[in-house]
Amino acid sequence: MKRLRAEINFVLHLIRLNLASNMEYRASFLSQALGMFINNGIYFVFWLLFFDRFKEIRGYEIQQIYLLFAIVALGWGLAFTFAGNAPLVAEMIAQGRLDYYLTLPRPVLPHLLFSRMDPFTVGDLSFGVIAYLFTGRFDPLSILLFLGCSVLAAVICASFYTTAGCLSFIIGNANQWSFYLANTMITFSLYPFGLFQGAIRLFLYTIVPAAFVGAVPVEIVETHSLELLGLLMVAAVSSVLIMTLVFQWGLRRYESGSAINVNI
Amino acid sequence: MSVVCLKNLHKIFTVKRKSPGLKGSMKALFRPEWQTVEAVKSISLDLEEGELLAFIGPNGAGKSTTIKMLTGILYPSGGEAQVLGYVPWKQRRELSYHIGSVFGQKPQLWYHLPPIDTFDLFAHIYELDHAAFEKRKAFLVEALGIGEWLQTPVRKLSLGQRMRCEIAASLLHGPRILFLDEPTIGLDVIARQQLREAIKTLHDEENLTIFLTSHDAGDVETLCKRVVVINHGQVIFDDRTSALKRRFLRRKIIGVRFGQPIEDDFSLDNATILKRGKLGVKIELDTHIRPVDDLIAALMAYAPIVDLTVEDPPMEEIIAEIYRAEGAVEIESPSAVGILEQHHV
Amino acid sequence: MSATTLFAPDRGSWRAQARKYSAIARINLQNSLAYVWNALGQGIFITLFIFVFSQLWSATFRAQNATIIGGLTLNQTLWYFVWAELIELSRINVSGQIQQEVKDGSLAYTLGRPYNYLLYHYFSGLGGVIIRIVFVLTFGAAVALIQVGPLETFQLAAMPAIVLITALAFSIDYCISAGIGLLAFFFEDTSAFRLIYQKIKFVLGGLLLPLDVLPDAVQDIARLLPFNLVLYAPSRLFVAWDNTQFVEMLALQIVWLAIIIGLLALLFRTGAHRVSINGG
Repeated sequence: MKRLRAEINFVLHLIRLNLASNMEYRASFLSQALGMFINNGIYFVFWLLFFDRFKEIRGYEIQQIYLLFAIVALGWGLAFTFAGNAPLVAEMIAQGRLDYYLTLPRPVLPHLLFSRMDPFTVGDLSFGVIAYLFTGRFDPLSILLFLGCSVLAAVICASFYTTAGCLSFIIGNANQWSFYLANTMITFSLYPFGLFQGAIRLFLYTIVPAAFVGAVPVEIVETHSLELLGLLMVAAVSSVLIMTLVFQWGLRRYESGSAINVNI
Repeated sequence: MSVVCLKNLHKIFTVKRKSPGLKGSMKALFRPEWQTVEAVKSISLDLEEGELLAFIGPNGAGKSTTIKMLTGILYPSGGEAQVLGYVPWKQRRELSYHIGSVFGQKPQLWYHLPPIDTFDLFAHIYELDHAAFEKRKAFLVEALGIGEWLQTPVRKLSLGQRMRCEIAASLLHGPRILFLDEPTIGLDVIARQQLREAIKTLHDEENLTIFLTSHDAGDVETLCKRVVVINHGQVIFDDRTSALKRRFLRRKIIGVRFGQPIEDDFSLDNATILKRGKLGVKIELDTHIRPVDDLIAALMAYAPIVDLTVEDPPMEEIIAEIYRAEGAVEIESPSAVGILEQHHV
Repeated sequence: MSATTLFAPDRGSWRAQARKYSAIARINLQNSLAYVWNALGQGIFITLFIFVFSQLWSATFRAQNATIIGGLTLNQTLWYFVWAELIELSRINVSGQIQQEVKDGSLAYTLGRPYNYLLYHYFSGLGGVIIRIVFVLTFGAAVALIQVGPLETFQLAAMPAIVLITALAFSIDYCISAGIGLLAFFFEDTSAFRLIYQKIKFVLGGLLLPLDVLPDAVQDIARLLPFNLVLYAPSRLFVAWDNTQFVEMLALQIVWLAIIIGLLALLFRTGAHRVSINGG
């Protein structure tokens, strides 16, 4: 228990340091955050136009889209605000930057992940919050569930991206591939789940858990279903476990020097 | 007491062989050819506490690989190692509390924040007692003379200032061994001197064991009493620095510019003139045959001197000479340097 | 040996220029395993998008109980997206590169070389474009074939014209992209512009929704701007060939291309002038 508390304290310290470090970025901060906002906004515009014409699709109306975007944007934003190194894991492994963390007496994975805060996710965070405002769900329970689901979604996003990054332990530099995988997840999570049937559904619950990042949270906030919330928590915990196991396995390979990039 | 003990340490890497161009890459993808590279053939080494060791060798000699095995980042293909009583790759975390490292090319300090913040972070990383940490920090700040810029963001510091802060950071937790990898790289003459003095002071005060890699002969000469030279994954020289100097740093290159044109009949005994111009001359001197001060006295007697430089031959030449002198056996396979440089990240 | 005999006898002629630029294209093609990986990745993207779109649109057609939406059948709609995504995913992505060269000053060096800077980038990017087209078209067409079968309104005879329009579409896109890169002369970070351009293209260019499906007001704006000529025009003609539309689109493309090239040249000259004053 004491060990766990020490680790948590350490992570909090890292986060504080990150915040301070990012305050230095002020200038391009805003322009990049704005860019992110626009990025999310355009897909939003797509759905506005779509529903303006077609009214509803497989049980989804514009209302559900607001909620979906809110959760995914906030979740994604939270993931990379705190675990800012998750998208960089592939590259860090490839460039041997793990060595720094290996020579320090702290568990490598959390130290690695929380050592960076992506300052430009403010765009995603604010977008998520604003999108939520459009849903009109202001009762305290809904808001609480929204925030809770976003956090769980964030955990799943960060774990997934990191696990994808671990491909670098096998193929040298998995930068591109982890990016594609993350993109796949985001793309699928932003569409009404009713569009997908059969095998694809299974795929989206397991290999690329987009369902847990978008569809399931939407369901939870709409129906206040505690069973689904439980399921979401299980999914989040599983994703963390998988990430940890994969990373440990990969680390053993790294230490044997069988990673392709070798530096004498 | 022996703090580092290596016995027949051995490391082989298997890498994919890749021929250049598109076809080569496609071939490597579908029908990969594997090649074994013996990065470290057999290294045996013993370090006593408080030794200041220079660990040198050309690129691709196996230096980084050896250090990685010593710090537990890599595990060997064979052989044994003990660092402070720990087996590095098996007890990496425990060992990490007692070692510090500064890598010239890989900074530890957070770039946008002042060094003090990274120091505080390290206190957390190493779980240091608060009061003890403050005392230690004050001591190191004093010893390294970095008090003035503790609050300045690292990105605003000069390289010399940054390196001194890096060393401070690496010593906060009171390690017994310090690994320094190219600490003076890129520093100007003064900064380099200051850094060397700081390292020496700390070494003397704390009886630190220091493991230094450097391409700078000056670093080796001024800091280290003992030099280990490795090449092709083996130790080819392990002795006092004075022995190294005596045997191999005997040549000096002396450049002199006079205040007046040199006569045509200008010549020197027991020294080779490499190049001459109207005002300047470059001389090669074997200090065993003629001491430096003797030659310089003769030059000063000849004409007023405007500029004088005395240089060591480059480290690579020294090592090449050692290599030739020791007559070590050449490994049959193509150079490790060549192959691994292809895969160098 | 005098210096003049080193140069080829037809230096400066059209043939020599053609040789020069095709050599540039070829060299970039040869160094290109990176291109193949990149193209493979784009292939994965299109697979993703076409699949998701097929689900979205077949559900939409069913929900609306329609066989034709915006003048296209489901079959045509999906193949429309295949072509539109083909262009978007295979395009020459040059603005980042140009921005980099402006920033680090290597632009100053290339200004001295005897080839047109922008043409150089165009031809060196072509290798990548071709490889990407191969992968993206293969993957995209495969998914479309599985989902809705072959394009019912496919007209082989129209293909040369469609290729022409598509080539012009690529060129317009390239010029705009290059222009954004050149904005680095004036702005610290042009990534925001790049992003905005891409997103505008998505909506007003017809990548996310065929223009005919958009509300009338939006459609009118879209048709006034050149973005629809990059994605919408070639894709629409590909699935629903129409002689008059072809002529109209072609004319518009040529006009806009001329305008954009003019602006680009102006931008380049102003920026280069700046470089020479400020010393890079």
